[in-house]
Amino acid sequence: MEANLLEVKHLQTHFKTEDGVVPSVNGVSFSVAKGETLAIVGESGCGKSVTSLSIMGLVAPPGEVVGGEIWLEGQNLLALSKKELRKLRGNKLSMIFQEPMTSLNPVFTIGNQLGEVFRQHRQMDKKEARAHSVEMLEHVGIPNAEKIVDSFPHQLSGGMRQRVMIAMALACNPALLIADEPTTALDVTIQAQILELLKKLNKEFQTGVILITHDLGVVAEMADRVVVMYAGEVVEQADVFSLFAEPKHPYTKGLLGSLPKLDENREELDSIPGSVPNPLDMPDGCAFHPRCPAATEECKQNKPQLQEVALNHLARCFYA
Amino acid sequence: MSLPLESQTAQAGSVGQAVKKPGQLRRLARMLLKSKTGTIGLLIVIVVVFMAVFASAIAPHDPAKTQAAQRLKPPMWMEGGSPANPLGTDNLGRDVLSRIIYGSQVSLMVGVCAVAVAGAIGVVLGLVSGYFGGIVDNLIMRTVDSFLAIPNILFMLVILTVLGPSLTTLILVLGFTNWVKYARIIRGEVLSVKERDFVRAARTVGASDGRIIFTHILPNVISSFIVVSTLSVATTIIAEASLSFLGLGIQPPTVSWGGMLSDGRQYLATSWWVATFPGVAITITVLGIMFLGDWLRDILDPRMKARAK
Amino acid sequence: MDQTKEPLLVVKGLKKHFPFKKGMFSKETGYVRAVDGVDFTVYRGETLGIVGESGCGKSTTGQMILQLLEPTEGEIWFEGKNLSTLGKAEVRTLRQHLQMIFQDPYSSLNPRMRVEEIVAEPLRVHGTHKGSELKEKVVELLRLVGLDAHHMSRHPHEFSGGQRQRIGIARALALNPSLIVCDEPVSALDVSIQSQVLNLLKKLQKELKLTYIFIAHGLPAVKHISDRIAVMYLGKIVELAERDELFANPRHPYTEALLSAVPIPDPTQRKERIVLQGDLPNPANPPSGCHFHTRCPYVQDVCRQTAPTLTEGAAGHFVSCHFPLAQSQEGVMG
Repeated sequence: MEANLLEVKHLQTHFKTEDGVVPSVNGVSFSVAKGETLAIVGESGCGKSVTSLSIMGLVAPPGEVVGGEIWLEGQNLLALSKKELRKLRGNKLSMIFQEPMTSLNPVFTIGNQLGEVFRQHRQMDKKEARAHSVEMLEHVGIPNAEKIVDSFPHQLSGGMRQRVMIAMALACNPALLIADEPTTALDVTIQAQILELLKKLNKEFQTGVILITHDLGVVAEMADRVVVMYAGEVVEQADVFSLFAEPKHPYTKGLLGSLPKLDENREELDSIPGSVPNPLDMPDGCAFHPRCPAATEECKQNKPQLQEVALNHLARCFYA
Repeated sequence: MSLPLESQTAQAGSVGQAVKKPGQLRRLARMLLKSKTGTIGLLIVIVVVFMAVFASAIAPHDPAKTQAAQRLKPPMWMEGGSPANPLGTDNLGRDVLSRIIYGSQVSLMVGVCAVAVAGAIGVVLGLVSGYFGGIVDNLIMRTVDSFLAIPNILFMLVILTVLGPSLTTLILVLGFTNWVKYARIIRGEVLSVKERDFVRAARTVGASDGRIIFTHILPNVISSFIVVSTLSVATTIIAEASLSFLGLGIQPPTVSWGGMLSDGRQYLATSWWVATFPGVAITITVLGIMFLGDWLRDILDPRMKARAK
Repeated sequence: MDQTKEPLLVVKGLKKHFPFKKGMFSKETGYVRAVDGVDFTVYRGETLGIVGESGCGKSTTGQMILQLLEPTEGEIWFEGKNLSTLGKAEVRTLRQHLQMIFQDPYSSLNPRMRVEEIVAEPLRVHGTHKGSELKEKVVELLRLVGLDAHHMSRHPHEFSGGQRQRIGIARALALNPSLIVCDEPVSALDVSIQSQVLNLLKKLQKELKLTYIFIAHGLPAVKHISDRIAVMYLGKIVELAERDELFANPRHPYTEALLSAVPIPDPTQRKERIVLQGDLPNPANPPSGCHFHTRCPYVQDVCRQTAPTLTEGAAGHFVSCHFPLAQSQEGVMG
């Protein structure tokens, strides 16, 4: 079997706040194979975004990666110097964000910002960089790229900006692309365009993709494998088909049951009672037990481990 | 130009929102003690206020009492100084320390009252301008513009010369020249608060304009007023000192720091303490208020608050 | 809904044009046609869903119904009265029955007020309850939305997003409204909380005989809660039908594409989508003829020149298209 592109082992990222230490990511492990799309799902505060920032080496104080290993193509990212990491970012390792407007600098043209990537990582001169920029813009489906390359971010629509961000992220043909809620800020019909584009590019470049989202529809559409996170931990991990067909963890089951679906009419949706626990005041035992319909005494006292409950299907539950 | 990736790390800060707060006062105290400059600022302000309030009890001498025999005595630690006049005496033999203690009354009075006058005018006009918009807004804002177009000091000089200097005119003049600042700041804040959904919600339940302005908008814009006005007290104290220095401020026999500076100016070469100590008093007081104001801004400005969480 | 269809709200030819200014010397140079001629009726006890993408005018429509924005043109009839011809006092009384639930539970509650004051405000403003009676009413309202009496003395920031949305709902219910406009009430909430709020809205509708206008961009949620659904595009309604009819037989090409674009949370149903090309046109300068023609996969010459009107095809199924898709056709999806 081929070695994995990315291997994350027992990652721990903590935020030291005035009121105490928040373990945003608490011992998370997963891997991404070449050309694979791994989705990380969870609700706000579950640690999915912090996980991705940890991989990128972009966790800002008061946050800090306090433990674990992140191996990208045989290199431990956590052992690299800041300079080496910067060389990697935008080159081997890329990221696109939810809000493309804030990720683009408003005072530079698209060509300027996209060309910067080529100039920095590929040592191209200005003319070459521009030519490559136009080519890249065409690649992500931007019409009359020759013109767009000279426009400023505010002159483009949200969908176009996200395309530009994708072009920038893919400019140096990265081995791993992290997409953090890439379509959440977009309209449905534009989301469909961007998802199609990501699929096409994933196939074409054989890029490994980590897709971070709260939208289970997007997961079902895009992912090969899925990691479900709750309160800073992985609670379930499986290939996309098993996860949707046979979710093992009560949280995953609850999430799937709470979705209104287009192809059915239900009077009442299932719902998970309560809300996500306060990270400074985590419940004892299983973090999900206060909201779990099947919780027992054991769940209140002991912490379940992530274990294989079916072939390549992991769940963190005593009763899975 | 750096890759825009860096700008996004702020996202990671959104951890743990539902954290319970201890008592409001205790939290304030804890935040204050964390900031060294804030603590120093508060201490200075407390000392100055204490001086002003209990001036008659703590001042060793009557500030107006002249003693020809004691003219221009140096501070006590210099040759010829005596513990009776710790900071020396001025050209008329008056005790410098006592005069500084009494002078704090004027400085604080002018600073606080002028800001209160300016604030009252500015806040009301800013609220009206921002909330109602349209012609009212245009009218008020053009007035603001014309005020800004006149050099402040010129305006003050003219008015003070015409009306004759006194404590009341000084306060009114400083108030009337400074309200524009508040009007602009409050208007800007109102424009953004007005668009928040809770204002819409108040309108859908049928709340009147007055109710919306006073119960919904005002409490949400007042913190920026507090911050700016604290800093303004400091600048107003300097303005008062400048005017008194020019002879247009507080008139004798009332003591003011600016007046003391003005008096001591001629003796600077021979008796430096006459002008230096009031100058130091002004500087320390202004710095103290500024420190306090900076700290207030840090805790009251929601954008900064988010970071402090 | 069929038994007694009593119209509660009737909207006729509603328009809202926002002037925009260019240059220093503010001269009006154009209009953003946020809402450009919208007609619909909401019957007592039903939920009318309004879907569409950003800039389609759905929220502006909601705000005009609530009198938060003044219509440029058109009429709004509520409980048999034309709101635009009524005096201020009459509108004030009528609007007690007309309430709103907002999208962002963080900005819709005044951060400086306690929960008790927030929920009591409508009652105070209209002077319906006083003293201990007022307090009792607030407790009752909080219980109704699944909160507790001990929550009263807290400030909004002490609550989670879902709880804040419940507080907003309690406030909207205070004056016993007959119509509530819900403007994206769940889109700012986490997935597991969305279903809680949707369930609550349905429960309240049943118990209190409420009528809803449910404005949202998320089709699954709209479908779950609505009886009838209007689809808006660039300031106009392009299709309006009973929910099941709309989803089974979308007749406007835009509706068809919109339905097709929704990702289905089931990996076995991955499908070829109808992906609309291009972006939404600028509402300040909408395309000639049918507003949708620039992105329509079935566009013909006439679409570029003449705007279609909203006409009733099958019973209760309105569509605004020169060439509506055939009834119960499946083929186009490929």
